[in-house]
Amino acid sequence: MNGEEQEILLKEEASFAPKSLWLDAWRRMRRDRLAVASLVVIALYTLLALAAKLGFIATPWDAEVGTAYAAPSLASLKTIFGTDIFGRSVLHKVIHGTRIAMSVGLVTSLIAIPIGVTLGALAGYFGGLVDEAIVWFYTTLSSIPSIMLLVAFTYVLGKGIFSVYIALGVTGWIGLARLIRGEFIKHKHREYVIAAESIGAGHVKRIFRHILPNVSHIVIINFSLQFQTAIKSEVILSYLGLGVQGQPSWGVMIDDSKLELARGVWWQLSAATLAMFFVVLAFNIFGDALRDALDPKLKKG
Amino acid sequence: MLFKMAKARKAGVFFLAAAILAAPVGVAGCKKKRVLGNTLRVALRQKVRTIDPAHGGDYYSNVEVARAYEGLLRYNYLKRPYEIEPALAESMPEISKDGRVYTFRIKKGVRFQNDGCFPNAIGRELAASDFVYSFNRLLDPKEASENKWLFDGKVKEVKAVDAQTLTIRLTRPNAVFLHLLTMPGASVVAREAVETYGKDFAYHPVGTGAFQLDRFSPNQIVWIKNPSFRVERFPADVSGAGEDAGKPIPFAEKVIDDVIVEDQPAWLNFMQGNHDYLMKLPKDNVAAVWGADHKPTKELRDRRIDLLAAPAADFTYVAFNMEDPAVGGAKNRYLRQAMSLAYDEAPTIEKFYLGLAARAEFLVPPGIPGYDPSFKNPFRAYDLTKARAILERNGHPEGRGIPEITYETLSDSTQRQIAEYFQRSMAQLGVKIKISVATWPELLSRIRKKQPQMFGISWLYDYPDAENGYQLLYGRNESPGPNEANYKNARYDALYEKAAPMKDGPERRKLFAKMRELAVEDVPWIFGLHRMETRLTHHWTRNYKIHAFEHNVEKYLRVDVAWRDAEGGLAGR
Repeated sequence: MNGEEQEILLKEEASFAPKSLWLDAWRRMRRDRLAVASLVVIALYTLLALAAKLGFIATPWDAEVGTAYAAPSLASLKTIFGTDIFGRSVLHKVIHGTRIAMSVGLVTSLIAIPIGVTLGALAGYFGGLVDEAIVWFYTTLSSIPSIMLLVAFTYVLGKGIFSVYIALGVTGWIGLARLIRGEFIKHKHREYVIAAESIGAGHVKRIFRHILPNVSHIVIINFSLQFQTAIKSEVILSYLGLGVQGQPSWGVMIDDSKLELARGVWWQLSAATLAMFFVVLAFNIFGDALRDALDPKLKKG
Repeated sequence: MLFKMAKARKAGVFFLAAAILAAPVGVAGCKKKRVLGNTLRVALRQKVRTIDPAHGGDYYSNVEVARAYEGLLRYNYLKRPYEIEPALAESMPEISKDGRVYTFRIKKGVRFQNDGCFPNAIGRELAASDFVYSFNRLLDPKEASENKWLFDGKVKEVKAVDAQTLTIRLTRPNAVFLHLLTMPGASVVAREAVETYGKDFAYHPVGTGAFQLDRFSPNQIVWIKNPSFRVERFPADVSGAGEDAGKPIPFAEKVIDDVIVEDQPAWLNFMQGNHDYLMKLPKDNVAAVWGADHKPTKELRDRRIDLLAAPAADFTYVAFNMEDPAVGGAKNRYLRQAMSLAYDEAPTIEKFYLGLAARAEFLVPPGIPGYDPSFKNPFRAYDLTKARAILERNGHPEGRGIPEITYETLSDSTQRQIAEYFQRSMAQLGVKIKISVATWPELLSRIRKKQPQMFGISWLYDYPDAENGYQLLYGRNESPGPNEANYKNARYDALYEKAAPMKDGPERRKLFAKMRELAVEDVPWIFGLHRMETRLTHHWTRNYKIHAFEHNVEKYLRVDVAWRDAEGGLAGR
């Protein structure tokens, strides 16, 4: 079967069973093994986080399970990654670190995305003064080094996981707002929008019913990228002592290991960085795959 | 690291061999063969801002000031507890009955270093009027001296009665005044030098001290032995004086101070033999020198590097805010007592200090006059049963009904882990602790405003007098003063007011003992530990003794030159 025939066949298939954008994307993604693997990894992390949250596994995380700084051993699951300075299980800490990281990723995305979408849509759709005001606002905000802004937020709101949610949420929407604004500028004069206008659709309807569904793939891609950025930021904040307090976090674990490495205790650092590495990598690969699958320009490929 | 060092040593050997081979051919003619001779090489861990006694407030500036300058008094290099002895004074001063007038006799025949600011460039003899000039210079508003506090508000008048006699009149009796006179800031300077050099005086020291400045650059300061230095001798009447007892000092002909701010370069330079001792052992390298068995590591022993450790004049503690309704006041004394009993210090010493610390029973550290090694604080012994019983007796079995307490500390890793340990200790008692971390300025400003409920902190003695510890619980010193626990006990305060101006002696110590009893019973603090100061010295460096208050130890150090040269201490440089 040569390429031309295949294309014809595909076209026929498409004409027989019309597929939505999402179904089509899903079909294309399934063929990408790496993307599927990433999705599985993300699902696993989510499950672990949920199970830890509901208290099914790794509770209590701060119980002593062995001597201080016991090296990793296969003797029991609890000590598979060794123990820390107080004899607590590093595995349990990693799992609860996962819970913190995933919750931060989720909550901050849920805060950042509505802000980014709304402001980006308003700026792109209305243009003029509205656009200038919003663009001015986010350019100013993004001109402040983000880590400084995060630190300032945690100082104002006090420390703890709640401030981390807020700080990362209200600083993480700028990239998305830019993209959405660009898309809206492109779309607002398209025929289908003008058609909608001519049959009497108002601004709100045009923005949310007509244009937004056509740019929603950007939101999805951005969600997966936002998620892993938030995880990384949480680790950095906790490493600096500005993040979660009195709870395990990968950042706190890495901070601990600064002192431990000199005495040859490598397992806490390894466990925390590997845990972070895999989830961030999975989100990155998955985000890329999503873009490939959803971008109409790449459809031929 | 070991690997790298071995390589560096090999490279050194190679270089040496090459130099020897090349020397006869004359290639090395332009590169003089380096003979170190009797030179001390030291790493300073901060940049030196100034060598002017009036302006050197920080440690390393003071180190440089003390190379060139001296004051009336100093601490004996070897004696512990620390003891003041005359430096430029001929003897200890006469103090008037009311404790307000100090009369000093100045040593005869002391000369300033030879310098261009004097006629014929020959140093002039020191006179009492030089002290009048130097002390007034500190107080001069135009000078804006960082060391003004030494005399400001304390000294009423400084007068030269004759060339050899100096009287200092104080505004009120002050038991620690003699300690202030030992500080490098209270050194004597020559008016000629200050006036000749103006702004450059900061880098052109002219003192009476053991060393004379040869070269100053931001990264290296070179000193040579002051040729006109009077005859000073190594302490002889003290045990541990060793073979150098009574010999003229300084031993070194030259001192090279390299400014090396970063930890790892300082460590590597020392390990390669480029410096004769290492001042501040980088925390990350502790494990390389100090084994888990509380002995120096094999590598250290093989290279014959000595690890010196001595108690620092400090203690750590957890302070309760005595004005807080949940933990402060007399009604919560039982809670504080129980918490103190439930806190076991031993694992902290092991985990965080590798045994290089000792449990603190009270606020007087070892080495400070008045330290009582036999004193055992009844609430400092770890006794969980007793602690639980106290809570039960007061209606809180297993800690029920006690509100959560917030513990504030610094955000660095060690302090956070120590806080976690505290939290775990209190959990055994059923007392819930919430940890809140902050940066040092942030924590300090909260403490100043009396905001924290309790916090972990430490105190480093300014001078070796127990009063410097006792004043931390004096009611009128409450926040923003140094009494950060806001502890107030009328009886303690009355005793303090009586004891503070007194000279150290049995009578004063009796008062201090009574105060101790009160403070121990009230538990405004949970005592932590006394940390150890550590130094590494190469075996060719002699006479090093950790001294918490002497800045110019180089005056007393001797390098076994032959040994060092044989050992390849020449490497580098």
